[in-house]
Amino acid sequence: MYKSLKPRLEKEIQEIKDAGLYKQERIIASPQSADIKLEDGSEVINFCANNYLGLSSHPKVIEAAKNTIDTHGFGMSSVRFICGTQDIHKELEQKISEFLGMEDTILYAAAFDANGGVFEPLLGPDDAIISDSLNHASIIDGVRLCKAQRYRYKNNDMEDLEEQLKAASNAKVKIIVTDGVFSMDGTIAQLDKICDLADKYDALVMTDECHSTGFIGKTGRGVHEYRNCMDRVDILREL
Amino acid sequence: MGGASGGFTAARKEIVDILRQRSRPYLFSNTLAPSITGASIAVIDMLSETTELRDKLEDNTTYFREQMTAAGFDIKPGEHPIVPIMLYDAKLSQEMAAKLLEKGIYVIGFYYPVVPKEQARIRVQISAVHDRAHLDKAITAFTEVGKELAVI
Repeated sequence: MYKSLKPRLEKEIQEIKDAGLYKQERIIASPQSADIKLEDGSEVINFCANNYLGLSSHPKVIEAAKNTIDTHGFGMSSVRFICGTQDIHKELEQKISEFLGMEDTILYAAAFDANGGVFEPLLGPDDAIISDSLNHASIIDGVRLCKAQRYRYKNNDMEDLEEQLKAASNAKVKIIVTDGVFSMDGTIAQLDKICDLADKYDALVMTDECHSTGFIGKTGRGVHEYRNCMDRVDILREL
Repeated sequence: MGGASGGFTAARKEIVDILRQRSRPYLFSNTLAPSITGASIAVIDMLSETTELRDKLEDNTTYFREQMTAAGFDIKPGEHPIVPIMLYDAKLSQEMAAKLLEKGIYVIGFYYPVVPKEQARIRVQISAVHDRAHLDKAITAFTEVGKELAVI
């Protein structure tokens, strides 16, 4: 019976509104670009999209998407391992690996999934995750799903990271997890120093490159290129 | 990478191998749509051929950061296209974003709990699709509204 849940939800919604935290969606009536049209017909310049390279409505990208619908259809109606893997999925995984200088790549239907699905299969209760305190929500949720011990270090603070690595010294496998770029500050993680500490304390390094792949570093490989540690990162995720 | 949907994990060979066997979102979601997959291949090809887009983004970012700093705004230093204009006060960040929208500049003010208390800001994100006229219009609007609200 919905009537048992309805008043609780109404109360919660009112509390969100009273706190001034109710999120409204602004409706856009054009493709994503520099100039966008709003629902009321007004035109504004957009400075709040993650459209760093302008690929959201780049003519070559649109053309490729249309062509692929003609050659490969709209949907796969299957998970990957039943009958949902096409030649283009393998091709893209191969190309991403080459572009980023990584050994292999696995695609997910959403970036949130890539973070949600990475910790639980790799780590158990004897292992430790050492995570930057400002990491993105999807990383935090992914960490929650697994049984590993959790350590947090102060944002971008290498001394505190070292302290936490010492505190986690009994763990069998240790993994340092950081955003490549912290999305509210534009701060680029000190990935080279993180890799040094990882070597010293025998830990793996994982980085989330949502705000860097394609444009950070001289050839746009990401923070591992920018910080000159391309072969030292073990796991790299992106949307 | 075209801002549609989808994500990936790139890693050591055995790590990816075990994720294909055990990663639950991978095992239990329908595959990434073919159109996104094909478009993403085009993106990687394009970015492998030329650094034109990232170079333009870098130029835009440098220009915007320099001009806004010269105008007197308090900006978190750095070189990333995420440019936080620090206002500290939550209400001010909302008022400023609203006034900028009236001038045709769409930006968002962030405040607690998204950022720490007393650290409210407007987060500007620069793009390679912006040209100099877009940036100049934004800098002018920021300067006008900034003076009106006594931020600069």
